[in-house]
Amino acid sequence: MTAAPPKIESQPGPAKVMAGALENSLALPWEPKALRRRKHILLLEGITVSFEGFVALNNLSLALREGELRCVIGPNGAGKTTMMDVITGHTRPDRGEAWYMDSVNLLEADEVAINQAGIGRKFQKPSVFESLTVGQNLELALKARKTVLATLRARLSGEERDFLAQTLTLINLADHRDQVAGSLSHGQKQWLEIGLLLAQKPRVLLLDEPVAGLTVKEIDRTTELLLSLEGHHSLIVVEHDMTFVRSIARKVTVLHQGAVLAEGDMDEVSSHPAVVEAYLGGETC
Amino acid sequence: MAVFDRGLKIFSLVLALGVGTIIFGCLGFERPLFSTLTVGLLGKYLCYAVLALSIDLVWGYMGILSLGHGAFFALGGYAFGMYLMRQIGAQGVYGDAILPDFMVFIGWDRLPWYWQGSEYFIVALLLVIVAPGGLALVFGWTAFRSRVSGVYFSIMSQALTYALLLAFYLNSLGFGGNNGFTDFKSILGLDIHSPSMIVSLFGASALLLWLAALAARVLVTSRLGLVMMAIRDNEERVRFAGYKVENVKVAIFAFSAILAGLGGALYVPQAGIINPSLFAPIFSIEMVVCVALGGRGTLYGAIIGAFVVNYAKSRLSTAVPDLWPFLLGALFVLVTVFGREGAMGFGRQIGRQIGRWLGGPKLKAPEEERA
Repeated sequence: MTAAPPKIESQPGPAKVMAGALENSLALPWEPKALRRRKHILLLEGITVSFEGFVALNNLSLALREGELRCVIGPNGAGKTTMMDVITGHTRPDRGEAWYMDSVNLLEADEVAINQAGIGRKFQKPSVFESLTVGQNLELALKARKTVLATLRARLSGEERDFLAQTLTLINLADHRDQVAGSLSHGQKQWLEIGLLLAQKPRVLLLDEPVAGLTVKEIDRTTELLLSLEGHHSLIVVEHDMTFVRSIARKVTVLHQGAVLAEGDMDEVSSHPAVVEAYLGGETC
Repeated sequence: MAVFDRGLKIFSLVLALGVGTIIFGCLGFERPLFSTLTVGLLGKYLCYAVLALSIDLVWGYMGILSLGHGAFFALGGYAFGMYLMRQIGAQGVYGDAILPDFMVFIGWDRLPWYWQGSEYFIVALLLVIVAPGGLALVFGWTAFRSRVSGVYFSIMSQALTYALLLAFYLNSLGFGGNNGFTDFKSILGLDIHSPSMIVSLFGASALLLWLAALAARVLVTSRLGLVMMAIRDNEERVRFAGYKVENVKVAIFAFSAILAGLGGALYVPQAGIINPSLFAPIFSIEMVVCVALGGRGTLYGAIIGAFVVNYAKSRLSTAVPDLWPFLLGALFVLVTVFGREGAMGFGRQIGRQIGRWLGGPKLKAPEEERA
């Protein structure tokens, strides 16, 4: 994909220079919130979600930098999917703050507004539009004005055609453009759903278990795909497959009982005693 | 995806030939091949076809099963019926130049406010669009905003038409109570029973059906059409693709209601009567059966279904009136069990089979055609 490196949209004023200077210093406890927001594309602070007494997220904080590829792991019920629900506006937390690019308050915007602002999400169960062809799936996902009338009038421009062709190649489905999505294999559906996200040209991609149920060969292709996205997009990948996580992760966040248990590179977290205790159950990986 | 695909070309040709033959057969001979009664009946079928088409748009393409679409058809009919009642003028039984007979009968001495302006044709046309469209907007907005969907929506739509049925039975509502409107005399001052008027109404119905099919084709071949089908497949995913699903649903639902209303408006002068029975849930359900039988999500299937079911109904409900509901039910069950694609799907299968026998090039599967 030849997508240009994403632009930073914050003004190049003194604030940004200061943020740049602070970047190298240690995180300061008194660091103003606005500054923290400006340094990260996605910032969750003190998010708490409870469902009728059950605490799904407990004071969770997470900060994602522009272009970063972050893996989130954790046992079932650790709150990984709830975290994505909060980011996409699907679930409203009881407490906390969530910001996208210091301009979008994720706790106030609705799902469509958040998506339009540039956050795309892949669901745990591959969800594509089964009765449409692969090409049509991508066409309707394209970044565009998505009001009723604008959609009625929308036609593919030459540029969009090229972009679709590139996306198809990238997700390994160039030969399947006119095939009905419902007839794709499980792995191809997973790729198509990633393609749906890419067609929207998002800044942040949230991927919920992108390699679940894939063959080894397909996992390798997905690994390649995600690594090629790093730098152009910011990614959060939730996954159970440890080999896969090890192969793509720069930085891993371990969730446990709705809170961050550890954060660091794979070796750091997998040797972290609390992680071994809580998640890996003593087994090394 | 071209708007004028093979299907629309065939449909246009069949419609033009059929309408041409019937008009010529009715007017071109000393002893007409088709009586004005037959023409009027076929005109009614054309209006039912418009209603079936409008149901197919929301059900076949967007997956919203409305079991109360007859309400919009009836509202369009009542809106135009008001104009027809005013056209009667002093020719009514009571000879009141302003008040329709039923108002005189219940002792009203002047027109209620919502009948003002109903003597103008243009106002009637406007009302035919605004009444069903407005109701669909309000109803759709409330239902879709609160994310009512699936079977709950179907039940609500049925409750809507049932509520209207009860309301229109009331004399005090000012729409003629259970007798409704009838005894029409003229449209635009022209005799409504003259052969030329009957043929004109029939022609207008055919034109409406053609325009409705064309508009539906434009809609379903646009990107909005893709979004509609996507909503049918996976509503949540569409939301995460950046579309306001509610807005799309409301817009299409209202458009569909307007089509239904226009069908109803042309139905009333041809049927010569409109009464609350059009609001009865069974009527809406029959129309849904038409769409299912013809094959949903195909547009033409809905049209074929409307003709076949209503023809069968005219025949069988006079021959074996007690059996008709059972036959209708049995048909519906058969379609659901054996041929989910309805007549259109059956036709395609036969076409493919014949293609195989002839050893010719295989006919494309419907999905491939759409691409």
